Amino acid sequence: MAKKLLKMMVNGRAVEIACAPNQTLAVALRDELNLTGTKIGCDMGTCGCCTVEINGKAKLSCLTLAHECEGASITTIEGLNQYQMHPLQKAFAECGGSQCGYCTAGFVMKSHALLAECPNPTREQLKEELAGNLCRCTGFVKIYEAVERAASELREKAPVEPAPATAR
Amino acid sequence: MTMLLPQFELHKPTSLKEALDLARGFGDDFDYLSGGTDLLPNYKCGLNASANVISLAHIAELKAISPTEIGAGVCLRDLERSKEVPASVAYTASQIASPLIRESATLGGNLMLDTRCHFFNQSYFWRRTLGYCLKADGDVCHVIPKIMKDGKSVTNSFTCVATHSSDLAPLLVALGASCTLAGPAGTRTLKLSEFYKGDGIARFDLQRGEIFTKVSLPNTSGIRSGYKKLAPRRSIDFPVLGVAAALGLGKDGRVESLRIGLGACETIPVLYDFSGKDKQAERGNAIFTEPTKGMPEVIGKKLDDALIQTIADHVTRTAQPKLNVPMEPAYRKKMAGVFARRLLTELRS
Ligand SMILES: Cc1cc2nc3c(=O)[nH]c(=O)nc-3n(C[C@H](O)[C@H](O)[C@H](O)COP(=O)(O)OP(=O)(O)OC[C@H]3O[C@@H](n4cnc5c(N)ncnc54)[C@H](O)[C@@H]3O)c2cc1C
Ligand code: SF4
Repeated sequence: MAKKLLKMMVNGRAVEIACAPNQTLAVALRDELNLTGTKIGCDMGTCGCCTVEINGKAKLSCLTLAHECEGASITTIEGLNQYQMHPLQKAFAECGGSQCGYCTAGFVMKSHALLAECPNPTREQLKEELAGNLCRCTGFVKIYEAVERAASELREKAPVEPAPATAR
Repeated sequence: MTMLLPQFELHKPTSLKEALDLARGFGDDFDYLSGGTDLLPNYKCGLNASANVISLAHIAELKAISPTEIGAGVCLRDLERSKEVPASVAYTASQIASPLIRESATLGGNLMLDTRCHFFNQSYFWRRTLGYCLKADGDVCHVIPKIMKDGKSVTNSFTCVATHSSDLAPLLVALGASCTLAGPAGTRTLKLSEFYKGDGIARFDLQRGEIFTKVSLPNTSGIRSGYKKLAPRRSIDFPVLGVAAALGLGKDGRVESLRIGLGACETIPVLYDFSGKDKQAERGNAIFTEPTKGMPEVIGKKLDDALIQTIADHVTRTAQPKLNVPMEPAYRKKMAGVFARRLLTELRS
């Protein structure tokens, strides 16, 4: 079960990492690339903490094998704020959408993918779409408010161009 | 907390033929992987893992979607948004797990979902403390340990009754779908209802190495169909009961055809075919009685409240949920009839 070199784009940067076939993407991001913003919660698909974008789709990195992402383009929470806080991150902070913070990266990534598809979601849509992310602190209302605030900010101004890759 | 995956080799074929050739080389020691949302959690619990995993995610042939044929590799997110498939299929897909999981989860994986049980879907440590069970590593079933034989003597049961908890299976069975399997010996098509076997371990009519390639739907124009799901939390949980119905109603309100699919009660999605000759069809776990017995006559009758209640009562009487997933069997049994009644009332109007 030798490790194999995998090429992928992570946060706009081409990377090459050595992964074993039984490594999940969550573990690869954290252990090989030191991108520890992605959290591992239940590691069984139930909590949504480990959400990242794979080719623009919000997926669970704990149920995705790193090898299945060969050649894919991946965005993690670190990819949103290379120069300044992303409106979603700002709104989560301002609205109290984050308390202990463990689930926040997952919520932000799922919301990011959602707003790209649907810039003006209703509260009902938000509840449906965020159903796979669990938060045990906030009670969800502040999270919905944060996403709505970020959505309106993003609709007003054209989205911030993703910053050019920086050496990490 | 990180749950470690056991060691395995991953193979990524890009065509069916390549996948079948790989499988042939591995004998019994491999598993197919589609979205991985069922296989990987089971692997993390150390449940029947193999040394080789063959990914089907890179095979384009499995991803086609049309009004009558849905590839096994179509992800549930695409299915729920599809305007081509019957609305009930799209709706049911949208009720599965969470949006995050549905981005990865596939139709094939959903229909071939491993059966579930309180005593099985647990960590290795948890299962060890109980001495394991038939379905993994052990030799006793904790749900139904003993059965009556010949009406008198009590013997150990060697049948696993773990529950098949797919949401799409009961609906597709009710719609009369068939499935296509590709294997080393060629391709074959069979009715989806016949694909399931009443055994929580053997589960399917599947030759080793065969790949589930697509589901074909019969002409469903004029058929009214729907699905109702019972789960502890609507947001993410597996169904503990699913009731699907496909109803053909004449202009005068008389029943032309009726098929009801019952999910998350037994090791298979149970089919009640009120219209066909296979009304007494063999089904379910051999150690239990047939729910088709005493089926009411409905064809040609007017679907009034009384007839709906008769059908609902039959479903309640014959549903056999087991005490191996959340929620009391007695409640789920009762709700099977309640859902059947609500569903038929909705479909009628
Ligand atoms: C938290 C959570 C909640 C869930 N909730 C639900 C729910 O509410 N309802 C529900 O129905 N499911 C639920 N699931 C189960 C699962 O996510 C879905 O059933 C999903 O559709 C499985 O598809 P997959 O592609 O991920 O399957 P995989 O995990 O890839 O495969 C499942 C099984 O099928 C086999 N297989 C897959 N494709 C093929 C093929 N083409 N040919 C041959 N064998 C194949 C695999 O070998 C494996 O044994 C849930 C899962 C989780 C983790
Ligand atoms: S039904 Fe019995 S044999 Fe099957 S998984 Fe549950 S305890 Fe094990």
